[in-house]
Amino acid sequence: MDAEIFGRETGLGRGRGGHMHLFDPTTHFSCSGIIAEGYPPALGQAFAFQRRGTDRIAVAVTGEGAANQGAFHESLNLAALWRLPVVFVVEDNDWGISVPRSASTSVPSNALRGAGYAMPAERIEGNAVEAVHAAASRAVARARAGEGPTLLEVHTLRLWGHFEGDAEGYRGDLEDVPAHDPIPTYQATLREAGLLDDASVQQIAADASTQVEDAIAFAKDSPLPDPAAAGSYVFV
Amino acid sequence: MTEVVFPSLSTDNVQAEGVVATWFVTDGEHVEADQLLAEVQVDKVAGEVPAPVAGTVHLLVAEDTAVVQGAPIARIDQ
Amino acid sequence: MTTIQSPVDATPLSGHRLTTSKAMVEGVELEMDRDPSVVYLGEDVGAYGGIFSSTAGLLDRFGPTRIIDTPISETGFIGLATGAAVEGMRPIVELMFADFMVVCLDQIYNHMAKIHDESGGHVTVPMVVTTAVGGGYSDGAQHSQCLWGTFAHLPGMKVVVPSNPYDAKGLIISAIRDDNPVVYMFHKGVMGLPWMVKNPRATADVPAGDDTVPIGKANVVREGSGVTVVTVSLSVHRALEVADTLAADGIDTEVIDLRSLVPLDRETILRSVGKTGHLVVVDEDYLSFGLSGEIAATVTDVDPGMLRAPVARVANPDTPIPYSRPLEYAILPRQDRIEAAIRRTVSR
Repeated sequence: MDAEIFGRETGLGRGRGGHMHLFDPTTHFSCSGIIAEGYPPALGQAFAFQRRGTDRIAVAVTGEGAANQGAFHESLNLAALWRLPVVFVVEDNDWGISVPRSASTSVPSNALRGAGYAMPAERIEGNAVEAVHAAASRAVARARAGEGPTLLEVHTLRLWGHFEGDAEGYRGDLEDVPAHDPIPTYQATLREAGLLDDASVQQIAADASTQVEDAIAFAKDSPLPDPAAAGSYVFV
Repeated sequence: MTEVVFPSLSTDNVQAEGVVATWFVTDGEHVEADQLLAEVQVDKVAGEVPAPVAGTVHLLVAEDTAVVQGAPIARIDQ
Repeated sequence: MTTIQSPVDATPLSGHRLTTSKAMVEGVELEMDRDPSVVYLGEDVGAYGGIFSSTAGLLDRFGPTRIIDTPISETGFIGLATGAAVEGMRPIVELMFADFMVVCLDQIYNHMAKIHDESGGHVTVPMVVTTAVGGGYSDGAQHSQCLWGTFAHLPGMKVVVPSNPYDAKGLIISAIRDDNPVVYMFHKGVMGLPWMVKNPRATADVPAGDDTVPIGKANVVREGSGVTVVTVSLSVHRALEVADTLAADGIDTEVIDLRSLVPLDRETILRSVGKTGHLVVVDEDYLSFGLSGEIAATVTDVDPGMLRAPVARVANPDTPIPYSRPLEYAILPRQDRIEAAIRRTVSR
């Protein structure tokens, strides 16, 4: 993945796709650069899984800004109509780029839209890891049981700007951000439960850093693609 | 000898006239049973006419000529 | 004398006579029999058999799990077909009218056509988009377009346009078997539909087997030495009719049916124009920024000296297609305009 983001020949897409168009067929992962348009292909993957009688499901993730795009609505309708094994996840971090949800969305919560498609929907507040896990487990179980799709709206927090270099002058809530960061909050919860201590926290952080640093080193050491082959993958 | 008649496609208007839109066989051709002989049309409804039996087909009407439902459009000599 | 050149690698025509629509259906049926991962989705493709008879009889044969009626949701179901293809199925998805491409262009162009390249070849999208094109029956500006120039302009999808029953069957089989996304564009006027204007060239002999027609290979449907007419779809029929008329005046017309726009068989075009020195392109898509300009450039990119006269382009003008019969007939590339263009070109 990192090699792809660095545009290298060893990347997921051999440098052709880049950070917005990542495809990993081994994990059935993909992302699209067009807001909400990643939902319809996710339906297709679920459709294929269902026909093969596997218990694979599709999880399709967007931000709350995508919930006003046509593809979102078509996908919810079609998934519910055909009872496809999909979990739709809307990460509501209150902001599109610079426009807050209240200025873009006619309903206070996209979970209300589930009813419009005869689809169970839940909004999970509090940015809490275990609540999200529980709701997701319920949705995944429904999908695997052939009961069709679920819409999960997770109210979360945008920790930084929409993009690198975004000064976020349009936001008035920046001082609240650190207090609502879920990772330190959950760490505190796990410490209180005796599941984490200083040593284990340090180990986790070190392992994560090593993994990222190794990946970046791999990416930087990898060759760039040959310009003569720029058009090699247009067709099979 | 077996007659092939124009099928009844319009049940509200039994007297409706239609046409043979396309013959898929030529006069005097040998046909097999169930082979597609023609596509016919009455009002907006199209239908296919398969050969009821094998044999030599003789066409009795031309394409695009008005034909009443139930009227013979071909005969097959076995 | 009209010479219909046999398609490349033809087996003896011991089959049966079919209309173009029935030939297309037969091709789909053969592939669906052979490969259980082939399904056909679209609006009214089930019990109705397709608005232009592209799936007639298939629901009875394969049932609703493989011939699937969709809601009016092109972005949804074309995207769904893309995802299914990514997972190894071979879906055929129908865009009822090519004019509707703009409703779902993101899924067609930003997704279906680009995924193979963006993934560095790691992901394939072996799907077919079938779609009805063409005017001449007063369906107006939003239901009469061809738009193959637009599809062909966008890299990543093959584009095929059959003009007759043999090619319709052979190309749909090739399209389904191709591992790339293929857009299969059938003109309503070549389908041989009983409720459309009668077209004798819409019915022809078709072999019973699964003979394929190669994608990317044009067909010289009429050999001639005086002028090359390059065209596609219903305009092939018109050009052949005009060629017969002109033969009486000693004008010997070579007619090339492109059959595929992507890949484009530039070699066949160049070989013909090299022989005749005169080129007329007939294209029912819009004149500017499209197919006819591409055919002209095919020659001038290589050797403008091949041409003994300017290229004549007989196309739809850059005008939304009118509804009223006389207006529509005036803008379509019909026999009168084709004949005038050929006569003008060979006189220079």
